Amino acid sequence: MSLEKCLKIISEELELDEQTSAKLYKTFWDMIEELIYKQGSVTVDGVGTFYLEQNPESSKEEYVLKFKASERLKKEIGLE
Amino acid sequence: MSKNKSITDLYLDFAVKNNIIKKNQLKKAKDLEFVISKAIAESFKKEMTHTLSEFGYLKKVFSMKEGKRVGDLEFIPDANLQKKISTRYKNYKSKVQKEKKRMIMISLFIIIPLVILLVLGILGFLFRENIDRSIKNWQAKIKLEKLKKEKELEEKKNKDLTSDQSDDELIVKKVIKEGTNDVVVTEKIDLKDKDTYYSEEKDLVVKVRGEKDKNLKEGEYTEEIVEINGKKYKKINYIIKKRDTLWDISKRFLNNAFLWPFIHNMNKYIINPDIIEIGDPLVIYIELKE
Repeated sequence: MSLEKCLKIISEELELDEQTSAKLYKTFWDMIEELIYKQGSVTVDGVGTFYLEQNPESSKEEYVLKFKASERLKKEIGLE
Repeated sequence: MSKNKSITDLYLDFAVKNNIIKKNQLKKAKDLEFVISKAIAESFKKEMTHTLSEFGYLKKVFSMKEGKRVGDLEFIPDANLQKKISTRYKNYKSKVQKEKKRMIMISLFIIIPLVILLVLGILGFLFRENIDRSIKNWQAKIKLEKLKKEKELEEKKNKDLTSDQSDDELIVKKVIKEGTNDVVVTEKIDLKDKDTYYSEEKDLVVKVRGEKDKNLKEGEYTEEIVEINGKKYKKINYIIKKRDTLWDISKRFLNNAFLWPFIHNMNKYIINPDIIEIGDPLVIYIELKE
């Protein structure tokens, strides 16, 4: 699973146990969600920008969540 | 949450507050965003997708562009999140707008009166002499109006009192002198009434019992016998002279000084028995016993 590898890296880098790392990872994305409600867009360094965009297919005021990956991340995973 | 703070700082504040991470682990966590991006990158080296917890997941996608295979990362939000995010964002936006409007209204309510007061203050300072003069004029005008009204009212009262007055009657309406026997009345006095005595100028009017004999001088009197309800009386008309008192008069005519209240009672116009006026008439009735 990709998440396990991810959490392992977080544990190693931040010197946290796996349980704390998992909690940290979950609450990090919870906080990003809250920030999007309040700001409309959030940029996570090295990951990309999450933003709300009005749905062009809807006649009402309706927003959809979009993402633009950072160039650094794309380069690191070979998507250039 | 402040927009000036980085995502890492915001998260660390949140994580410490909620006891997710300890303060001594903060130093390492300073590079949280870098660590997360590194972890995501490492994950993608082996996988096509990467989950962002309950937020959604990232997926590698490929397309052909100008004959070349181009890769990108697509974000697939969590289905529940996608459902509620639009409503929550709209609600938040409308709340913020309402708050902004409220603040603007509050500011206007504070600023506009302040500006008006400031302008009035400046104008008041510049034209203070004119304003003072205007206020004084205004006060004088009010005072004048008040006096005018009072005068009109007084005139109206006088008119009302004298409107029905004929030559044979007089309206007495004021207190003439305190400490004297001058009558205090506000009423019509019939000048034809034989019990009324008045001066020629009609400036002093008294109602008396009995007539004043114009031939009598001070200290003089007349006597006559009158019959009232079958009883006979000696009626004495006396003119008060200098140094007279009711006590003396009673002693002289009734042979008993202590009977002076009877004389007072017979001459109702005397208000204060200690003060009797020289020249005023007194009527004394003495019952004649057979």
